[in-house]
Amino acid sequence: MSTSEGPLGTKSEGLLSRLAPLSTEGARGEVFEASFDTLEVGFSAGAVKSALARESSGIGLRAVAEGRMGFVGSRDLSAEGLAHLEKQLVNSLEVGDPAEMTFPSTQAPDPAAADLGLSSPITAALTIPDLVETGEAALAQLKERFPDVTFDATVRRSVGRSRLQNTSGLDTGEAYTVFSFSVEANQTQDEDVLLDYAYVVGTSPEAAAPQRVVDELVQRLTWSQTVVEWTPGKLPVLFSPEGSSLIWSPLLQALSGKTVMLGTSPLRERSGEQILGAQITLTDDGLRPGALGSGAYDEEGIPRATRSLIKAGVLKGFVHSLETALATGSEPTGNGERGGATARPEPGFANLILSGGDQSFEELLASIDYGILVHSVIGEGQGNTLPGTFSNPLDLAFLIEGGVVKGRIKDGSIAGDIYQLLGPDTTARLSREVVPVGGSSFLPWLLIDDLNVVGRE
Amino acid sequence: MDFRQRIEQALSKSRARFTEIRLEVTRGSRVIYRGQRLEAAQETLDRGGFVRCLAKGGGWGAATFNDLDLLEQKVGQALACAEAISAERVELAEVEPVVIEQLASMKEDFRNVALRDKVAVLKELNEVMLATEETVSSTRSIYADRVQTVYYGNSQGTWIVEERPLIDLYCMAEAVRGDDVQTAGEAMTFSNTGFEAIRGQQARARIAARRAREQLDATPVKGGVYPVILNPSLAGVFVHEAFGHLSESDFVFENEEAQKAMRMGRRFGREILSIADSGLEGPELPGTHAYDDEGVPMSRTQLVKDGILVGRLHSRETAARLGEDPTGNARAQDYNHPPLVRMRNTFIEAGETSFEDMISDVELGVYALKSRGGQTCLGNFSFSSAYAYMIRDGKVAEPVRDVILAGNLFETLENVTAVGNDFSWDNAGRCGKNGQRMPVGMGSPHIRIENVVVGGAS
Repeated sequence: MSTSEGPLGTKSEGLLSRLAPLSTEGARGEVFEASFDTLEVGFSAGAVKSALARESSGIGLRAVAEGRMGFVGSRDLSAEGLAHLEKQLVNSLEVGDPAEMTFPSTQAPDPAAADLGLSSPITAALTIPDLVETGEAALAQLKERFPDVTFDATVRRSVGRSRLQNTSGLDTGEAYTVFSFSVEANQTQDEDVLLDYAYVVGTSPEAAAPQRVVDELVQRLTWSQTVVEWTPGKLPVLFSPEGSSLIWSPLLQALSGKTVMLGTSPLRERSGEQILGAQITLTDDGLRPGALGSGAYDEEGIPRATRSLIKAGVLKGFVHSLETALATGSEPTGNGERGGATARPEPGFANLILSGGDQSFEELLASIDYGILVHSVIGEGQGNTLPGTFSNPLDLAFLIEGGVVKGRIKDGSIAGDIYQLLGPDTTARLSREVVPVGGSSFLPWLLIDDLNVVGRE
Repeated sequence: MDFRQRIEQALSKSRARFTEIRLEVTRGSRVIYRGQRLEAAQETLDRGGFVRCLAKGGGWGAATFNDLDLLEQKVGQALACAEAISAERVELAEVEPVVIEQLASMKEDFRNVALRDKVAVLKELNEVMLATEETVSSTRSIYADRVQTVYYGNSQGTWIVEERPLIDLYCMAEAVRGDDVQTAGEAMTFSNTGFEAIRGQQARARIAARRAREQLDATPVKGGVYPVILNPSLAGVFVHEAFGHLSESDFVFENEEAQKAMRMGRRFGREILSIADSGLEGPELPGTHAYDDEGVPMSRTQLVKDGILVGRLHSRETAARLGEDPTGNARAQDYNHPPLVRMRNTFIEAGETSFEDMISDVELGVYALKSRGGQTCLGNFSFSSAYAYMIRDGKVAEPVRDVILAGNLFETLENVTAVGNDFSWDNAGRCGKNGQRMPVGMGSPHIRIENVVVGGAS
């Protein structure tokens, strides 16, 4: 059942030369074909519940003809479906905006791309009973530790392949594997509903390390068993790597060539300036071995690279797709990403690495006399987050007293402005440990000294 | 061979205890403007299938795929999946088999409207926003339509064809003054409605532009605990987020503690509060269908009656497990997904209080209108209002912004102290759960809630 061997993307073979709109003078285009093959096992209330096999394929076709841009997507790769695609392309080109875009010819990839280890034969060979075994081993540990908690889980392995061809002669492709494991814990006691979730993903079971899900949940569920009273105010707040995405997300939005192109990025004219504290260094690494966002080329055919976005607090650059680079007079950065076979390319991050600080998590925790540890908030990303202000109820959060986690707190919310909290004079501290979050982000713990935490009287 | 023959042939060859097959063909189009720029104008074609089987003594196996020629092979694969795990035996509530084919009826069928005409109509709405207010410097306008044709058959003799037309229209204006950027959007979702729904929406575009500008003048709300009045649109989101998700039985059916919390007969609010979820409301509401994605007839399900919990939402599996009647709430986003217990059109029933009476004795409070998003973590919820005003001495006063309401479901429902007489289906949108985004309807009159935590930056 594995598709990790054999040719990449055969349905789009020769497609570009067959399309009538692309035979006109000066016309150019690209076709992206992607497919994946997934096995997935679901556990409900601690027991295996379902198994699912998923097979998906699709193509995205982009063209410039007679000076206009067109894009179409299809998951119908039958002969009939591909014939229909040409008609759709004609319609799209007819109304498209004027466009100057050209598609890249083959450029030599970075030498570091030679062996990124993105495809694991071990992952490709995993069967449903293998996935069941992984899930059962983890759930057995959790159930033994917390008999009153209900655990749901999903174990998944995917084999994916993609191919990109364009009229400039580029023809490149990639095969990759993904293994993931997630557990949702639910502890209901009358009116108190505790929900927690942990997720690991990597190219293989070894890379994803499912035991991390168990260890993380055991830690947080242990902290959660006591609900404690607490006093709101301006408090030190320690964000877990997962929880810190609330703080980093607006910054990432502002570093996207898309918001720069639209003129909405608050950072669009601040290149070279000290925008954040000197302890903050953010790198986008498209060549990190074994990381899910790595590859020789981005999804528009530009070689991936390791790029500094923020160095010691100084703004160094943005991430661009072909479109946003052209519109903003920048060079493409190898960050053209597609959210699926039929989606248009947009600027995206390959692997984000937020370099760690010099203190361990334990040291950061020990430094807090009275504060809050935030693992998740409710409603992250709601409203207009781009300016950097946020205001969110706490979901899973804990009281820290005398450098020790005392228990779970309820009915709190936090609010602030990330550009003030992380600005050049910030006293925020990052942990030395940098934790993989979602397979392509590598984030430390983040301690902010003085955050407004509102409670309920 | 047509879809019915293909499905019936595949079903007849299945060795599973129960087999269901869903094949789908979805054609759609999408136009996006960002400011003056046409960001997208495209048509998409999607085609795929979903097969689900129950093994003799066990649970679910499923397969999803794009190549419909592989259907029979996929039935075999779904059964192999089911047999590869040793799951507890799943039972399904009994349902009468049904045969029905329901084609879309649209006044102005958008499948026959050229892409260039869709671009022209959206362009006009987009320009209305840019022209209405000087401070509106950018926009995001989206038109998306699709007809999802679903062919469903199961091994118990049910055969359903349904065409599901859906249009989304979104007009978002972005107003800028110095460093301050404020956005306001008007979102509309129409089910079973043709292109005529999109014509004549200039007024909504103008509202979005005006509101974005007004938000520049609004001051951030001072965080605290207030009595809050929600307008029908926001109250609809509130009941969906805060209560609706807990009444989805997949949350409780394998969790005894959760069943205790959601036990029938439990008091959830005052006598003025009644809540229902229905698939039988107007056809333009996105949760309305004749049958759900397991071939169960949709119904109107009373959830709370006079403050007392009286019902919950079911799939065939959760109904059988809890010994209750199936309600027709198993819904799947598309062929990539198994059906889950989902809401349809969820609403607070009209009460008797006029808006004037509701507000008259509020000394200091917040009047919050329209939703900008909401999330629930079961017991706790959060939703943000698109715009809001302070209430001072019984009157709507100055505009405030960044209003985020949070609370615990159980306490908050008890704190609903007034339910208005002005019901409206003012909100339709998408609800996300386990990676599936379903079109849902939400309705309510104005409601008043005491002691709500309002988050604010100050």
